[in-house]
Amino acid sequence: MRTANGEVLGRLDAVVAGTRPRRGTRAAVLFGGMVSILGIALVDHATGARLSLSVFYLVPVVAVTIGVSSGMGFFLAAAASLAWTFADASIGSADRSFWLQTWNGILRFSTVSLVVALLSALRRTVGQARASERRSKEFLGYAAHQLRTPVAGVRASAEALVLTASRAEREQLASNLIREATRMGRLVTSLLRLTRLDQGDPLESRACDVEAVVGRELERIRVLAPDLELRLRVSPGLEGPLLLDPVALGEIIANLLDNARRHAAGHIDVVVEAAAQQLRIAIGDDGPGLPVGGEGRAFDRFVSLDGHGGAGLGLAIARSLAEAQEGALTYASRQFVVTLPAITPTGALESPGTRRTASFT
Amino acid sequence: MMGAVSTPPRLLVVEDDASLRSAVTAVLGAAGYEVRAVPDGSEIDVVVEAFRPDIAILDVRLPAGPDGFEIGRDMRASLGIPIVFVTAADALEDRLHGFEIGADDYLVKPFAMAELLARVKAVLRRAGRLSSPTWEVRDVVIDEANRLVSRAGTLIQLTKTEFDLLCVLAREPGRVFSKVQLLSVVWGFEEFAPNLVEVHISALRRKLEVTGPRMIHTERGEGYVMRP
Repeated sequence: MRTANGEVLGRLDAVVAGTRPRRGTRAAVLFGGMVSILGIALVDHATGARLSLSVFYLVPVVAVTIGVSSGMGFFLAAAASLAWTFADASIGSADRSFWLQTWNGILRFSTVSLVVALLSALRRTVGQARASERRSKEFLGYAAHQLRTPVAGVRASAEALVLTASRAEREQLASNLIREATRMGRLVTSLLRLTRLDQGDPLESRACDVEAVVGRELERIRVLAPDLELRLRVSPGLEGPLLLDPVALGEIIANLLDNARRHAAGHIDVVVEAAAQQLRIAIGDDGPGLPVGGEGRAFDRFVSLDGHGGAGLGLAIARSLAEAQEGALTYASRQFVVTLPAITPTGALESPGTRRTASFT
Repeated sequence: MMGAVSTPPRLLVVEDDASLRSAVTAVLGAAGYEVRAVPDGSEIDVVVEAFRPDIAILDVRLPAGPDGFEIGRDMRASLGIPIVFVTAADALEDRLHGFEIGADDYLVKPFAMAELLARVKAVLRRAGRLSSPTWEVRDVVIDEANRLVSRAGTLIQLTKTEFDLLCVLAREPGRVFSKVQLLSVVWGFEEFAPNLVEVHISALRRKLEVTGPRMIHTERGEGYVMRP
């Protein structure tokens, strides 16, 4: 059954791939076209016939076709218009004035360029839609796969609960159910968050007290991990509120601090600096750090490098949230660094609550 | 629930997911096996040496140390321990790879406990590590290997479900099983209708009572029990 399906899918892929002209085929057609045009021109020359009149009208069509697929649209359009006008001038319209010929050439150039531009835009859009569809399918596949482990845990624990009589075991199994349900809940929240960010849902920028947001998240970590030493350093450059989305900022900080909490041996360092129109928050810990070579992949969706069984969405969400505010999230010298534009609400003359829309691809 | 064996078979479970690990341990333990469960393969040699399992149930994807396939290959090759792989990846290649390195069976998450129990039992029996002699409850004789039942010397024709149901009840005479418990072990919850149990119990009773008095009793509000 599975094999049969696989084969059918494979064949479908081949069919779809086959509908697109191969590079080699396209080159052959073009070469053939050029040779025929040259041939006809030679026949024209030798016999004094006017065959080339119709052939030269094909030149812009060929130019548009090549232009759209090769990205050299305007260059080809110019060449085609020139050839076209020249053909007109040399064949039968010799009585027209030079300026009329020139005007004729300009009009043709504009028409051909417009067609090339429209077709190129259409082609790009279709390409983007295909890529986006492929990404959504991948995302769905990963999400389903991630849900499978907690679902397996829930099913097994619930069945074991039915079959076991021991009180201690039943308590353990019931707590499994709670843990797995929590895990699934977290995963679903993350998936929804990413989906909304992908759709370009607006963040809400308003006067945001950065120090208070960071302090609140640190307090949460203090409760969860009372043994860790939390060190916060705020540079004197940060004065007063900045124009940011406090909820999104809180989410970014919470994500990075949770990460640090899981790996820190003894302490977590948080440094907040504001300088040159930029807010910079660095979060590091004395844990092992990202594995060598993992710096790039750590921000990818569904990539979890620490083997803690997380879904691998936290850093992806944090980065998307930073980028949605025209900022960035990077990893360098064993710490995560968030940079965000530091705009003071009064200085920027923006009223609190200004919506800033960002779209993602 | 094992039938007559001197020592219960020993099962080694390697599973990184804590919930699944404890649930599987609880169910296999309740089924009468001796279970040892570890989260990864980092000290697998020591565990195998000390525990000497009759069968290993291995998760393929493990966070630390060797993966399930590696552990399984070594165990199968050097010690001849039968292997059941458990994984969330149901890709055909994964499954084929599992069998290539000598997997005795394969389970895809999430799975029903009835399925796990059935596969473990089948693998143990194939490996000759589970004797399933015929056993008797009063005048009912059950031959599990050949799936035959007779009462007072008369062969009784049972359907597959009726036979499974009888085995569960007859293995522990005197123990009361609730409908939901029977649904779990016999049907694996693939059907979730407690009246399924009622229907099959009454069919089983009818067939058993042709040649003797009632043995499967209803405990009101609790479930069913088989009494000698």
